[in-house]
Amino acid sequence: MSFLQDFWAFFASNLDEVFSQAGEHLYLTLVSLALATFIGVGLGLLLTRNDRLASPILGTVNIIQTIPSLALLGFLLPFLGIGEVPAIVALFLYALLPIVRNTYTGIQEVDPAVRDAAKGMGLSSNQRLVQVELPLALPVIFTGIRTSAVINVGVATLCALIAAGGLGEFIFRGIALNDSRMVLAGALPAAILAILFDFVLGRLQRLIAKSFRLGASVTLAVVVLPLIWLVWPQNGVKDRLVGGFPYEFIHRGDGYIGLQEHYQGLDLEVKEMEIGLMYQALTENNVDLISGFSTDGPIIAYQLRALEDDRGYFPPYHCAPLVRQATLERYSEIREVLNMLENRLSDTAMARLNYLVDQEQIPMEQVASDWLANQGFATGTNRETVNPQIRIGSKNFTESLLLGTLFGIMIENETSLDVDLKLGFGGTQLLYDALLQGEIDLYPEYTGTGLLVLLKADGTVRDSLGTGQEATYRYVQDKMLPLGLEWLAPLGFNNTSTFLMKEERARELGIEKISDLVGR
Amino acid sequence: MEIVAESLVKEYQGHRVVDQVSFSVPEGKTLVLLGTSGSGKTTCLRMLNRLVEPDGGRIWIGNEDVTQLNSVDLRRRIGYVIQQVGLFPHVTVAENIEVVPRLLGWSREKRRSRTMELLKMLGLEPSMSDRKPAALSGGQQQRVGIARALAADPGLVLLDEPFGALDPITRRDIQQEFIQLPALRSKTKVLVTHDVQEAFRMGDTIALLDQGQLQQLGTPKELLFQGRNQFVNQFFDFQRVPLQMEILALRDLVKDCDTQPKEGITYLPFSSDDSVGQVLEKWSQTSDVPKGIRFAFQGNTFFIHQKENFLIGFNRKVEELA
Repeated sequence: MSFLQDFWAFFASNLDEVFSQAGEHLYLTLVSLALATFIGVGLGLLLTRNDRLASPILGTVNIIQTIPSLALLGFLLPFLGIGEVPAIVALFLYALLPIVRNTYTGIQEVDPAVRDAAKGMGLSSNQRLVQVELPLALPVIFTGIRTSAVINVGVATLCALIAAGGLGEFIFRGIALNDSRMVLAGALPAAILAILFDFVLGRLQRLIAKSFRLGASVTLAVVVLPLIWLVWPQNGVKDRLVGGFPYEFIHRGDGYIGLQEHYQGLDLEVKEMEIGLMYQALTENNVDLISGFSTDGPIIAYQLRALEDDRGYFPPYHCAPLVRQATLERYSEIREVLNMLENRLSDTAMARLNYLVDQEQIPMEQVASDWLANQGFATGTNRETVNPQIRIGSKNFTESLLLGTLFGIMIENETSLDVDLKLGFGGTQLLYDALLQGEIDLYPEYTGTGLLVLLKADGTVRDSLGTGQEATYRYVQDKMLPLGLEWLAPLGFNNTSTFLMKEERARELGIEKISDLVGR
Repeated sequence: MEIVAESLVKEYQGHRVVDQVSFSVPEGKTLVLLGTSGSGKTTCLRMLNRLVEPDGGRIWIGNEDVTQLNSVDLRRRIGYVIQQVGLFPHVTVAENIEVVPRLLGWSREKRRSRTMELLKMLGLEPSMSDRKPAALSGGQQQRVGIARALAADPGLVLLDEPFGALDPITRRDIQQEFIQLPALRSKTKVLVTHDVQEAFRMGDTIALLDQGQLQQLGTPKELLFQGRNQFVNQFFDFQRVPLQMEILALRDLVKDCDTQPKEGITYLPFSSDDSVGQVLEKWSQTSDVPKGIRFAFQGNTFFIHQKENFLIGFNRKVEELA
């Protein structure tokens, strides 16, 4: 089936969601545009009457425009939280500049002779504005409004990141899941919406040019209606618990939908959002819980509680050094040394180390060696690497980098081998290939990743293994030994997906495990 | 409406652009504010309808102190014509003309009939009333500008270089019509120009300004023949003869005329008010058969048979006045 057919099939089967997202999108754009038109035109007019304000106000509005949209959303988060309100505020701020500037220049650029004649004939300041300046500046002002409308339709897609809904939900979910049909299902209606906006505003402009009074009243209606929409009492009070999840978590194989089936009766109000904004949303009480990983540094930083997966849904992600057998044959001491770390790192301990690096900004080497020293290992040696015998790799996120560093210190101090660190590989597959090729000798890997990503185990295998640590470990060990790789002893922690709640909120609601959420 | 301006002063950033200027215009007369750019003539004009507020001095228009009046009300009673015309480009010609009547609350019928009357008076087609200003030529636009200024029948009309943007031929035509326009005859007019010919043609009195100061206030004849200072004399030097021809009319040459016609000569009829320049122009255009001129003055008829005699008479008069 061609992509296009594929897309149409997807589109048709998701028409309900397309319409509801487009509706949200329209709402966000229209309300913010209406506000911006009201305030922007007013501000622009104020500037023409008070020239001294022009430069500072235009400058400020200009600066707002230069803030990257995502940064603006993030910046508003502490003040306004997530959802529609900050989205509308951000869109409003973005729409402001073209409207203010065009109103100001539109009026400024009215022929001075016309202005002079109007004044000389005895039109008062307000009469000049309404009868001469506004009608003449109208095309320029409308250009500003149309520009803002198109900008807003675009920026509104980003509002999906702060759980404000809109067509961005499809787009970001599609990107996260690498599903171009889904991206297109969001992008295409957004583009149509932008064209539609421009068309309607163009019509409105022509109407005003023909009959100022009629056109102005229609415009006013178009501007006022969304504002009524905004202040209209919304029914449906927040009663369910609110979960903030990144897009891929909702739809991926081991994500929320599967979880709902596993925990019958679980029904959260779901808000999709950007992964980087989730912790903030949680600490600002915009959501009750988020999905995360059990060793995330913010668990320590924000005093969060990781809910227990008491019905065993999430596959285990125990971490252990994955080493080439060839290396182990040559330097058997490595197995001995790294196995000394077995079960030394609990979830909390690992989260704490991540926290020290991420939130406290302590250098990784120091965090690693401090911990080792604390555990009674030697850390004094730090040899100049001349002829490295062991190359250690890692993935490119804090925990993996930290463990790679830690392994390095361990080996240098407990053996006489020289170590070279090749940390921060761009992707898991890349790193795994490097290990198979012998470009590196070992790196820290998770059993769950080994199972799902490296060995690409299918559903039946996963079901047969369940969430058992032992079973999964044994399975990946058995499958990789023939490939010349060996898993050493697990370090203890399980960096699996989990639900995180603020400690005090969890205590208040009496929630300790995921099944406690059922029916809430 | 009579205008009296007394010791007007205007300063911009400590610089005096108008310095102690006084003048008065009797009802129905025309005052020309003449000078080079930067002389302060436009500023003087704009003080009359308070587009510029004076820093010193007083202005009475028809016995009312201008500063005591609401500036918006004041302006609605004064016609205002500018060089760039400044028609509202987004409304029709008729709507442009009806701006002030509308502000004054005239009925639709009254506005409409007044507009038609003005269009006719200024030689514009009634069909033009529904066009936008952009569809009109420069000369037509300025005619509409004048119609607009006259719409509410103001007692005073201010004109800021009204013909400055027109080509010389159109300018001359409109000037001529303007002078002859009955609706304007009875109005007090203040006109700003840098064109000396225009000043002499249109002004009953001329106020010659330089660097904000009034150099001389008087009739064209006084300025030309009795210049009060060197500046005044030098100002007119480069076109003195054409100006003299503009000022002196046939009635000034009565002394050098015959009272009897000659045989075999056809006489062109003139009015005693016609200027030497106008006579010469028309006379030169008809030189194929021997022609003289004829005009009546104070009940008598006078004849001039030859151009040479005519010019001799003109020269004699000039010497006499100087």
